[in-house]
Amino acid sequence: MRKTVFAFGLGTALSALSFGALAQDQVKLVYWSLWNEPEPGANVVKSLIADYQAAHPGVTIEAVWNGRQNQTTVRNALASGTPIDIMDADMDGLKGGLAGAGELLPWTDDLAGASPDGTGTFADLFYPTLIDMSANDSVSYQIPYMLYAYNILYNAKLFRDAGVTSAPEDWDDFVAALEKVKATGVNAIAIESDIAFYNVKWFNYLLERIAGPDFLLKAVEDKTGETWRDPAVRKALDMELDLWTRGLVPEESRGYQWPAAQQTVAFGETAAELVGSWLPVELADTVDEGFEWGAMRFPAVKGGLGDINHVEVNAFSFGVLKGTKHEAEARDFIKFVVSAPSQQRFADEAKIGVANKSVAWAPEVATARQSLDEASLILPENHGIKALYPDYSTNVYEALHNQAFLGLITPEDYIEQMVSRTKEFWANR
Amino acid sequence: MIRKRLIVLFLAPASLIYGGLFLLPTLSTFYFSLFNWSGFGQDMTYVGLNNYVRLFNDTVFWLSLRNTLAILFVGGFFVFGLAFLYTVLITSGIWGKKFFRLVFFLPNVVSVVALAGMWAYIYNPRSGLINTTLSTIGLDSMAKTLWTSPNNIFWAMLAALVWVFTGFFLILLMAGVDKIPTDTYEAADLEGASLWQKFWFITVPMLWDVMTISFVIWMINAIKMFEFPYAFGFLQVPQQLYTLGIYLYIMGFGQRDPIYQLGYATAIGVVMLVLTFVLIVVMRRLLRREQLEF
Repeated sequence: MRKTVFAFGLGTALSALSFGALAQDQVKLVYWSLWNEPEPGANVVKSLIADYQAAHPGVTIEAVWNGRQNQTTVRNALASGTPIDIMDADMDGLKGGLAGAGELLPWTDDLAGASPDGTGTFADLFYPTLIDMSANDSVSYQIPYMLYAYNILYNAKLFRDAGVTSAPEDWDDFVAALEKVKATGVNAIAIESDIAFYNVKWFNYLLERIAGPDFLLKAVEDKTGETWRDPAVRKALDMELDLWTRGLVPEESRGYQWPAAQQTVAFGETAAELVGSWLPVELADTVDEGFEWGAMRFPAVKGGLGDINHVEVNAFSFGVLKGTKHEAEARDFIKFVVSAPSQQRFADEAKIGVANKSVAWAPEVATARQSLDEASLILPENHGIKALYPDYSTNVYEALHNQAFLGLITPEDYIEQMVSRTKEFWANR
Repeated sequence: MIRKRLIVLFLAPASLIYGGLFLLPTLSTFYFSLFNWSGFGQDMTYVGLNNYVRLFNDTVFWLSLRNTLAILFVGGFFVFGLAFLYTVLITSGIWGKKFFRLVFFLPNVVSVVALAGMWAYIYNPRSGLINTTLSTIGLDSMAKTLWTSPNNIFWAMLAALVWVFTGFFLILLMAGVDKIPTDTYEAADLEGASLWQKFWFITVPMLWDVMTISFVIWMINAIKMFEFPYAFGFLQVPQQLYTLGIYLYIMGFGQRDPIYQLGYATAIGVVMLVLTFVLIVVMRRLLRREQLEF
């Protein structure tokens, strides 16, 4: 009897000890996500979490689905002491937000280290310049995993029906191609009047093609504002407004509120839209089966300093919060997500572009990927001003451009206001 | 003495909660408005009144203030104009008083996001309710109006806002009217008073207290107006729809852009608070009357 009691006691004690040790070894990573739970991207993340947990029995990952304003939610949570290990957000947003505030851990050593697949360094996994672009003072605090190229996305059938069989590479040819499309009875270009950050891409690209990739930042950083009087600004404005004058953008677009215009693309009433390569995913449930997506690079401008192979992108990145107690596991999970097999799952199942350059994109966005493969320069949102001067980017640059683009103010007013508002911005800073 | 202590005891929990969750944060707002602070970490830089000087020189702040005041006064004019009109009509003895009251109040029980989405469809240039109706009745030139173009979007939003709020104030005013003794109206009827005379000489004076409190509620709502114009703007709120509340949010929370100027945003919040306080004091002085007892 005494032996039985002893054995039972010993067993219980050992069980308790082993359970305690197990509990001690068990790591719970808290990941706050920019995805909304029902999104295809979130489903892929969920399946990756399940796979990672299965391969790492000591690690559990708790995901909190906050949507695109995740960084703001994370900021507020951190202020109240909520422990978060991993979060994700727009690359430019992170650069100007948590990374800029010193709240994320650097990735310098990992990026210089070996790639998970054994070829080159970890940094070599990504599109060239993407890592540099996301860095704060040459230090990388984020790992990009989703990548969207801003291209002219179009209905290939409508262009073919109009006799346009190859993507125009020059602005004049582009306008001529749109005229042909319009002549077939469909609208050429879709514009959402209320989405200033879509519409400003026309101006960003034209300015870049005319005056080169550094011009926009130079104009913003000129504290006198006088750079906005450069003839390139007026030329870019005139060129984009010419699309309206020619009727290539239907007049009613001035009243379209998102997603009204992109729905006309889905229904085959409009041929093209300048937007990020997320559009085919957004319209996946609306387009007819067999809808043939194309993506053309923004055309060059004759005699301009820019290049057709300069592509503006938007990316989503992961960051590891500096307060994490599970740094190694957090880094390991992020490396798992950006590895080729995981990224392929994003590309195949969510049909979105990925940052790992070895991964093939879904057919719907394959031409968008091609523009990145051929890119000689990848440009961040609004050529860097969104991360460096976000209040200027939102309240001055995008807002005033939208007013000019939609005809609320004249090009002359736009230039005068850009000069005065740039001066005001720097005086208030 | 014991009774007084008991009162203090019973008031203490509510006072502590109110003080801790409302008064203290309000006072700390004044404090934070004197700093440059991103909200990340504890690093704050004292800038004195610079945030207020900056507000004074900020074009977008003035635009937001102008929009807020337009909502307050223009929107208020239509909200109360319609609420009074419907009050008179519904309380004039027509059939289905409860039904109409329910119909007008209905927008207040629907989510603001759903309402804003519904109005976006109503205003749609091609397939929206307004333009298709205009087209159906042969007003083709009017049917081409772009209600949500940059020139019109603020007024389009305001019209929808008036539609939402009218029902709420209608309920308040009707509750006040229901309290007015019916014999007053009967006496007026015997004297041959018109609908307008009954409204102006009986309803308005006897409804004064309810009107005053309704105006105060509207004023507070209008100055802190955020949800409806924000939802109406949806993915990216156009600057034409900025109110002080939206500008505060953009500067402090940034939507998806990393603006994060929490110190500056709290300065906007302080201006909203002061504006509310001043306007309420002015309005209550203007509307001060001897109380009618009935």
